[in-house]
Amino acid sequence: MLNIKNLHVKLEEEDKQILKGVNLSLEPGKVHAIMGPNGSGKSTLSYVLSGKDGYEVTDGSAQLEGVDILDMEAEERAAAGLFLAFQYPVEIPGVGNMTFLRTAVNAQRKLRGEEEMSAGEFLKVVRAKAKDLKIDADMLKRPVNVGFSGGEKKRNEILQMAMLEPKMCILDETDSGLDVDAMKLVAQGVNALRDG
Amino acid sequence: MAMDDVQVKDGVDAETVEAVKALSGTYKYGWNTEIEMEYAPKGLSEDIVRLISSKNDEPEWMLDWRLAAYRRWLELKEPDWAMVDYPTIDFQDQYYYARPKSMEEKPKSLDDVDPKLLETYKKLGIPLKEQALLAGVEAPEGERRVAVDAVFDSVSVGTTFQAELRKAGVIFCSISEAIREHPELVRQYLGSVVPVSDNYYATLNSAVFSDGSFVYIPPGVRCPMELSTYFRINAENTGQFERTLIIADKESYVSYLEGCTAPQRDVAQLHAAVVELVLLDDAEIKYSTVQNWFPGDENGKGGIYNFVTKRADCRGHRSKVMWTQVETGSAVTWKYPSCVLRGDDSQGEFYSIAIANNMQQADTGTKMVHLGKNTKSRIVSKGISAGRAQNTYRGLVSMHPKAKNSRNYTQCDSLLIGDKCGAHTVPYIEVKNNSSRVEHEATTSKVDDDQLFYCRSRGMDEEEAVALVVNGFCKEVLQALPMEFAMEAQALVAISLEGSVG
Repeated sequence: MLNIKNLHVKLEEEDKQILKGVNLSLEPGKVHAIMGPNGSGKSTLSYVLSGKDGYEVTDGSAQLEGVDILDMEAEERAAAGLFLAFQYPVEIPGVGNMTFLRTAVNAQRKLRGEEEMSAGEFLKVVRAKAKDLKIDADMLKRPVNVGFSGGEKKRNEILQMAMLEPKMCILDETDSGLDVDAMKLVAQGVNALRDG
Repeated sequence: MAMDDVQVKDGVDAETVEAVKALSGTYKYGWNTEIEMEYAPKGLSEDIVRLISSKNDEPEWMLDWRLAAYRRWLELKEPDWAMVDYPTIDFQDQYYYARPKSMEEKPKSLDDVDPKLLETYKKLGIPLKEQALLAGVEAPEGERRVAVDAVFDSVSVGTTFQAELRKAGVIFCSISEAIREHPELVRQYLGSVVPVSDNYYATLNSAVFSDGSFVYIPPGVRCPMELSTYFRINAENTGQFERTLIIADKESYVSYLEGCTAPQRDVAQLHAAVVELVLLDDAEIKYSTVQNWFPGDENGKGGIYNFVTKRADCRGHRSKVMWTQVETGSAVTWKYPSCVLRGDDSQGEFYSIAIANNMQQADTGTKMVHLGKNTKSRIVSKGISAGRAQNTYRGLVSMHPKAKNSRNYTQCDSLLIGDKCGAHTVPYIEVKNNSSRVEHEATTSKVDDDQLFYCRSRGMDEEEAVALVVNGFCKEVLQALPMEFAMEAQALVAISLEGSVG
């Protein structure tokens, strides 16, 4: 599914090499945990794969289902099935959670040449998935991540994941800041997606 | 964004389409209508003023009013205190009157109007032929009827639903018609809210205004439909000086929409309009503007100079006025829709989104003058700057000694996109009594790279992401707009910001 070969990455603005030849092969249905001390480049790997600015690939490649993703724009990688659950999800004031989700779902569908989801269908699906994650209607209406607690933000990431149905999920410290109950919900959400 | 696909409608030739696409590709009203025009000679003089007056068949008192204004204008100096920079305007190098030749004799009905003119409005998506709407016995779900006065360059082309409105006692017509048919009303109120002496451009407008809309709502009447005027500047080198006068008698209500477009041109065009609103006891006016003038190209060439004076006089007790504006076009915007809160318990509200991109400049805001007791005002201003634009909010909140218990809440937020633009805030607060309450909040923020990446990692492209974040920023104002305008405004916001990131 995901094939990373000899990936070398440095910071764009500095001469600092962060990844020095990462090799990783991920098969569908499998879970890989990437562990390492702080500052070892774990988040960098996630960012480079998802297409964040500020990094320069000096060698190597990364392919998702045989397609080179390092040349693609961030949104194209998302449409190709890549999803990054952020460690620190940002807030977007004034943009309702529902609006954000619907725009994202339809943006990806458009990129893939698929039909957009109708409002009615979308509402049904989002309510069902939100219920599983114990995200109430009020949270769906609030602006994205604004005033959300750490646990709420992480659950919101998983909701997005559930709505976008990606093929390859990168979860960046999804468990950090979660209490026992929230951890359970998040784990259930992730497993549901893996098995579904 | 799919938004900038130029929709080719009937009658637009491929060449025009290519030309529009080549120029900036996104301003889709950039085409112009090839139509025979009748121009007054270039320049401004007493003769031109007389010409304008006679072309409109005006009575003697109207001509005298104009001439007095013109003579005063000659003594005035152009103001230069705004934070905007533009090449000196040569007032003699403009036409002050342009009229489609076919309008030489006023058409008796829309059927007599040059089809090319009607075609223009069709292209702009404006329903001019009321028959089409009335004929449809079952109007499509949720379709609202809006009466429209269409103004093409300086001339009112036609006004729909006049008959039906007349049944409710509502007068909605061009101001030139009102001067002829309802002189008592016009004489009583014209220039009473924005006096001829008010400012340089209002004085100029008083001398050379050629048309605009006139509305009168009789006591106790809630206007049965929204009224709207669509201004289209088409002729080159023509200044547009409309004059609008809306009178809401006791306990009446009207919602009025003003839409504007203009073709793309190399040379700048001047738009110096005056809008006067009069409110009597318990009256309410909602005035919304979605202004989509041509903003000039990325280097600031061409575009409209929008120097407008708009004021509402809440003469009556408990009267209410709401100004809502979305300004995305025009090279230079200089306007302060204002409220004079004279009557006790009167209220004024101002909601604004002003977008300046590329080389645009905006110095805009509002003036809330509290004279009466228990008066309230609310100002929500959202300024967005991108490219190398400069956006200034200039507001005045003034509480008169007699304005006991008056209150104001002002929120002015600026959003900066990129690092070459500027946002400035110049609030003036004058409180002359000790029972008033004034609150002022201001924020300045940047569209965060992290926010954009977050959106893009979910599948949105850069422009969709910026549009989403900006719409969130503007939400409070967008919600205050009438529904049709809100949709158009959201799309406009997206288009105006194209190419702003990066």
